[in-house]
Amino acid sequence: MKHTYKIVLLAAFFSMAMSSCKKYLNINSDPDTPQNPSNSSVFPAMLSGIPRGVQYDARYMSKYVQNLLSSANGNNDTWDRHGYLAGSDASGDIWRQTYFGLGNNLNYIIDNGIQKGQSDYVGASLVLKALMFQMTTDYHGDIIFREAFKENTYYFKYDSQLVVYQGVDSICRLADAYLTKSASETLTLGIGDFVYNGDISKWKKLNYAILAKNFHRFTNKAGMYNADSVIKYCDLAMGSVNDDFVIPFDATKNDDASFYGTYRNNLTSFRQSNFIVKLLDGTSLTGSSTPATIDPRISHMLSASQDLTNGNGGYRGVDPAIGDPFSALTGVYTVGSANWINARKRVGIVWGDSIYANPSAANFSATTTGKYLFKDKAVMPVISYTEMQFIKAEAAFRKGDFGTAHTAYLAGINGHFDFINRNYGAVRGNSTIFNGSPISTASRNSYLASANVRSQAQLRITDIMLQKYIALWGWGFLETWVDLRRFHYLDLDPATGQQVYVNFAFPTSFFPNNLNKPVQRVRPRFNSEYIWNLEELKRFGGDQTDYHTYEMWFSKP
Amino acid sequence: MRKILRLFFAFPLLLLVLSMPAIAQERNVSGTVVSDDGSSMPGVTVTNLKTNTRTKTNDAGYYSINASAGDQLGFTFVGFVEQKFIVPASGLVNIKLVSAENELDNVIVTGYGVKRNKRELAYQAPTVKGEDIAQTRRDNFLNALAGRVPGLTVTSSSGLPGASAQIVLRGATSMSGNNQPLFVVDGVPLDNNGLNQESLIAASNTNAVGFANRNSDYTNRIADINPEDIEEVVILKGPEATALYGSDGASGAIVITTRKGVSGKARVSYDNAFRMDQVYRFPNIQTRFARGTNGIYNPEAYSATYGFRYFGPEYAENTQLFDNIQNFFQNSFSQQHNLSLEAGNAESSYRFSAGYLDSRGVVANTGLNRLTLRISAQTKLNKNMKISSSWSYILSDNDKVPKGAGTYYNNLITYPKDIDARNFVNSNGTRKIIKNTVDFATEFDNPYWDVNRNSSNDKTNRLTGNVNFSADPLKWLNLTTIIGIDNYSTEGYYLTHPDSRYGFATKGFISTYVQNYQNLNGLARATFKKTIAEKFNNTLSASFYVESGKRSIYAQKGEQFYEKEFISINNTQPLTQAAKLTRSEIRKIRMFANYTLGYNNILYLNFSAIREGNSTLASAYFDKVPFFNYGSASASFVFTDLKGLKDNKVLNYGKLRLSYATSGKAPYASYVIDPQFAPQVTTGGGYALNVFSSNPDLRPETTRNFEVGGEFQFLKKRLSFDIAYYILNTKDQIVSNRLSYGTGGVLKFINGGVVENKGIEIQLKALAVQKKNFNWDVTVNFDKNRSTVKKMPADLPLYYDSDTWVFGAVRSEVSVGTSVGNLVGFAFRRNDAGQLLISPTTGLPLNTPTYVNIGDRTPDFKMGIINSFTFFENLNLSFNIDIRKGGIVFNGNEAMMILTGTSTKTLDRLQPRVIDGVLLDGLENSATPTKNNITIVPYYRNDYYDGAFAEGDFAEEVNWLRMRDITLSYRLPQKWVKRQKVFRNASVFVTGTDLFMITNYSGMDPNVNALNSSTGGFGGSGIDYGAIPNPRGINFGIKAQF
Repeated sequence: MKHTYKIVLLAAFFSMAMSSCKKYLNINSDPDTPQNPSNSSVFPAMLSGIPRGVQYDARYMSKYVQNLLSSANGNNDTWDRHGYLAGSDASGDIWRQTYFGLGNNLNYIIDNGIQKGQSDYVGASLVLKALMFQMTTDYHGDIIFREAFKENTYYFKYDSQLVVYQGVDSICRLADAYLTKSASETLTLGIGDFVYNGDISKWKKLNYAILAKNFHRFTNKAGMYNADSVIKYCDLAMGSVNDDFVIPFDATKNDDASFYGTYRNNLTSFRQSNFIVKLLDGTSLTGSSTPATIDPRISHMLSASQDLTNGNGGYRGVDPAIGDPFSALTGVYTVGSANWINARKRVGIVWGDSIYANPSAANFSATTTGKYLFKDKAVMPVISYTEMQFIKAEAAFRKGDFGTAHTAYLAGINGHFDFINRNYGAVRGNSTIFNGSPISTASRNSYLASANVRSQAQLRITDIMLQKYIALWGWGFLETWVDLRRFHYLDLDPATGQQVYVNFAFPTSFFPNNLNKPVQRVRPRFNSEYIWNLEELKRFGGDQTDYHTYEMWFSKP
Repeated sequence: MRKILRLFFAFPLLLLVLSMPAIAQERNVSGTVVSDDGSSMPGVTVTNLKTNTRTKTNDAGYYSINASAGDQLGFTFVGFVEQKFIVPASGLVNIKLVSAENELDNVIVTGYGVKRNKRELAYQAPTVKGEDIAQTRRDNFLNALAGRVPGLTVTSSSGLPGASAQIVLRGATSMSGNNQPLFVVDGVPLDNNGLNQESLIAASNTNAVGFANRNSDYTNRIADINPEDIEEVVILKGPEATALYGSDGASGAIVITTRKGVSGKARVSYDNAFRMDQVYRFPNIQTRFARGTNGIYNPEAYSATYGFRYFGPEYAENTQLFDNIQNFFQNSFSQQHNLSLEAGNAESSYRFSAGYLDSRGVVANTGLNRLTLRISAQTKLNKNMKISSSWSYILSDNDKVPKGAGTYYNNLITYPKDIDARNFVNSNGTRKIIKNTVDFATEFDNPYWDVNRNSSNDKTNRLTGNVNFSADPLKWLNLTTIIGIDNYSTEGYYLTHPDSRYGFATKGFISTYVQNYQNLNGLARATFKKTIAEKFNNTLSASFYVESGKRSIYAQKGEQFYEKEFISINNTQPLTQAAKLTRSEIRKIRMFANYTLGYNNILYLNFSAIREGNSTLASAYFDKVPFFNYGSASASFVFTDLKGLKDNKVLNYGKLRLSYATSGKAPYASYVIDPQFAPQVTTGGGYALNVFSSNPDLRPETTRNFEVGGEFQFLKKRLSFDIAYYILNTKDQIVSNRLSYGTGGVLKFINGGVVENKGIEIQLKALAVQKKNFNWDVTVNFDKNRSTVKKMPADLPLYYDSDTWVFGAVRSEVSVGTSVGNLVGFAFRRNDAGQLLISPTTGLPLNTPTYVNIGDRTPDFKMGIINSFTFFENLNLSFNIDIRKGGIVFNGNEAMMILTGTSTKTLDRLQPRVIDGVLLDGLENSATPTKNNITIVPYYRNDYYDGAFAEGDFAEEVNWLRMRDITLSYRLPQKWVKRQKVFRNASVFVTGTDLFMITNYSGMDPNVNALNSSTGGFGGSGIDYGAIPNPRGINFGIKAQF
């Protein structure tokens, strides 16, 4: 017992030594990056993370929806033919952004915001979270939702689309509650929010827009579809193009320039499709292309060839997997020779009229180069007022309220003219997207009076969908793809007995793995799921080579 | 529990306290016994070996014993070397006993400056003499260790000056972490890191430069040591040894003792060496078929990945062909000079040395300049205190050229034979290209252009030093303090010229960086020694070690050069410039206690217990205990000293060893516990979570290490044999694994996974011939190691290292049941019966994007044979032959040569053939599959070469026998030397390195690494793609002592 005091002393000494040792060791925090940054430091990266997934993946998705297609003559392109690249992360960027790019960062902002009483950040981040998950299920079908980000978990269960849509609905309602709650707090969202500059009312509108889309996903679901809810949330959503959720770019270096701009040079092998050319030159909407039926928007959105003799002002397009017959004529030819004539008929590249190559790759010296949204410093729209109007039009039309439908239809068309004419300088100094000068009121009115635009009595679902396709061309790839799949690409309009998507045609042959079926979904990201979560994929056929042709839950009746 | 603890502490104390007083007797022979430090030695046993009577010395060291002239007296004392003495006719017999510690051959340095008697060691600890290393004249001394030690594997990343070398002891134990051993120089750890390129900033354009440890080599920094300064290297692989160094030593330790001044008259030594290097193994390139496709001439036939393709018609008869490869490599000339001064007396000594190395490579614009200055001094402060200190300053300047895919070596292979590659610049200074294009990015660089325009360089300043203070306040107590400093700064750049393949998109690209490293460490140790009952010696030591290592890498990049040839970040367009800072600091604390109980020099038991704290386990947000414990127990038994076995004519010495240890290892990377936010360069900037998810649950990984073995000496100790068998089991492996993105990240450091290494290591030494005028010494080293992944972390299907992905789909990947050195690649589809499936349309096999194992890079066994012949004491010939049996090497160069039609294996392309397999026609899995009958003549269908080979076809099971080094030296005879007053000693030598190799490997050199040494896991060794082979070198030089 007499040693007890020694042991106590020794123990005391050791515990003191240990605690000071622990202090000495407690330096495991990266000195170069904050490990608990403020929400206003993390939020900007979230906003700029939103367009990335869609822009990257639209290199493939745009071909499925025939916004853009492969250029080379006889390309037989995998994606043009509704295929996919096995063993590759191509087309997996939306997945990346949902789980990694934004993923836990949003959770961080939400937790941090709740602790610090920043309901504005909490609400806005919940809106973005809802947006990302909705996009991901629209794109992939079944996805990781309830188990996402679960700690100490390495294999994740997938949830059905219904579960995800319902989950998104809940997230939106929570977002609305926080955005409402923020009214009683000091707002700081403006510091990190370079899109809406902290305007809570606009965030609320964006949130309603997601809800509107969410309800709209159920059009094919008998008993689940509620047109009134769609209309209600469309009305609560964006009121004009000034409310559009568009992400700007700074265009000072590669990573802050638009993926579609000339600097980053990602669309060299892409060309506008014949489908969009025919929509804008009047062929599909009026049956023929005449000067009177050519859409004034065509010169702002599409690129004309050097040869203008084709009757619509030189706008040519390509068909899937076939490409541009003259694509190989890249040389210099004797004026007047057959090659010279044909070379001038090549389909224009997206970055400008009368050009066939990127005018300014890896160069910011001319930030105004490019066309429409394909500019280094042009915004990337995510959800727009116009889109809401067409969704509303479709809902009202389905409900039989043709008056509301027609009003929304016209508002949608007008909204897209406004979208083109808008001065994006207010959005972080971004470029305008019109070609030269805005579309004049006169040409807008003449278009509205033309055969392209229908009266209330004549209005068909075809008109709504095709105008929506035009308005979303070049950015709303995913919404367009949802529409196409809801109409099974080739569904007929009962009013006309013709395809809703007039002149939309599949490639002459599908990608071999498709077994002659069109694409319905995108396989989950390869290096995330096919290697590390394969067992779960097998549960629902995700490992099958034709999994991408499995019909989506939302489009099934 | 407390009782047990008390007992545990009481036991050694008890032994220390007990001590037997010596009883003196008086007879007719007497004298005193002193120890080698001059103090008198009480208690020494003095035995008359004839009459077997014995006595002990008294407190003054005095003894007296009955003996008659001619009798032999034996003097023994624990810890001292036994002395025997023939009793003279008259007079005193005074004896000096030499401490076993100070008898060079019996002593080995293991822990932080701790000298141990070899008898005590319970593990294999081979040593290599500094002079053996130095005589190979290698720039990077690690390359000289190959073959000299069992269980050591060195892989050099290329044959150019400054190339890094990866060194692994026993086997790779970690799937993704560092498997290289710790380097300890004079009791102080020194950094051996190369630069991890992931700290650099890639070019903005994806078609330009990216960094993944592939396109440039960075010296592993231990190579800064001048081999001339090395006295001895001890290789610690065993369990107890790793326990000594904790986390750091979990992959073994290489303990280097530097040369110290020798007391006596001042000595000046100078030596030099002049070296010629030459590449002598070249790829076999076909010279029959020209550029083209399917037999049709097309000078533009090109693969965007590999370069020109040679599937055209035969060259016209009078075509002038150029041997571009032979022309490209140059014979290089290098030199080194070493000077040292040393002097001292009984109290103090010092040594100063200077080394200068100018090593030029076989590729133009490569070279290494190194200046090493070192001073070491030691002195006795008083009777009980010693201080020693050594300091080195190293200046190293390394000129480099790009490496890997798309660089000069591969481009040389695919360069058109009918064009002279030496003309690489147009008259206006731009790059000459062959293809008809204005886009420089569509053609790979001419090899000359690449090495002349795409330069890179690293300059390092390094200061290392240590102060070692030792005091013996009491006879049984020693206190030691060691303070160590390792400080260096490297400044480097990597550049691609605006006209280059990889610089074109960015109009020139330069990446620059400064890496600063600073390590401060300190050790305090108290050692208690007491011998009791004359037979039990007890050593108890308690130590405290603390270390702080800081690394910072300041990286910049810029693009769009104003002046094409000017090398500076200032020469770039400001908007393209970017900066990145990567810092990390790791602190460690280790407390360890070591107790050795020796019985009569026969049996030793050793126990150690360690508590380690490591900052990489600490957290600012979570309650983490950054400490963990481990320990060891071992026994060494010199059974030949037992009665009855002693003085056996055949077996002179025999020792059995047994040891078991656990060792812990904290995460190898800092900042992986708490969330990591990375700065963003997207619009609006800010921060977002890094690709690495944090893991607050990370635990240290544990290695359980068991070794059994023995040492035996036969035939008057002319033959000795050392064998060790070990099992090394690492569990809770920390792996930075990719995971489902559902985790919220891309990668994560996770625990789990078990890797087992088993192996056997043998060292055989023999004095084969021992004649007056001829001596022949031979050493044979043998080792065999098997590593097996027993369990994957979180039962994940696999782990792969994306850096190793340098050719096609081949990569380093492990899964349950494979070795850590496993490689995977794409394979062909087969039917259920295992037959190759053939496409009915092409007649070629069908690839699947599924990975299959293509082989294990671990050799079946390795052998090193070192022979040394001495004639007339003056002429010595020694050589080191290195043998490896088995283990695959992926011949990426050959794969590329097949794909491009440059391989001589494509010469039979006119031969029609049918690939053996069955058609994929729906019947492939039926009872009667259709046999493939589609004939292919590759000459007309070069898709054959794209499709007929799977990556596994290029995995070769490699054997080699290589002459690592051979030295012939001649020392001027003493009688000549004595005639003059200038030289004390002089010799001349010739050394050859890598003179020849006999191998079944079809490529150039199977001892290659596609990456640099900073990649973890098994790294890029065994992947042969784009690295040039080791050239052969011949050195001439003189050595002189004044």
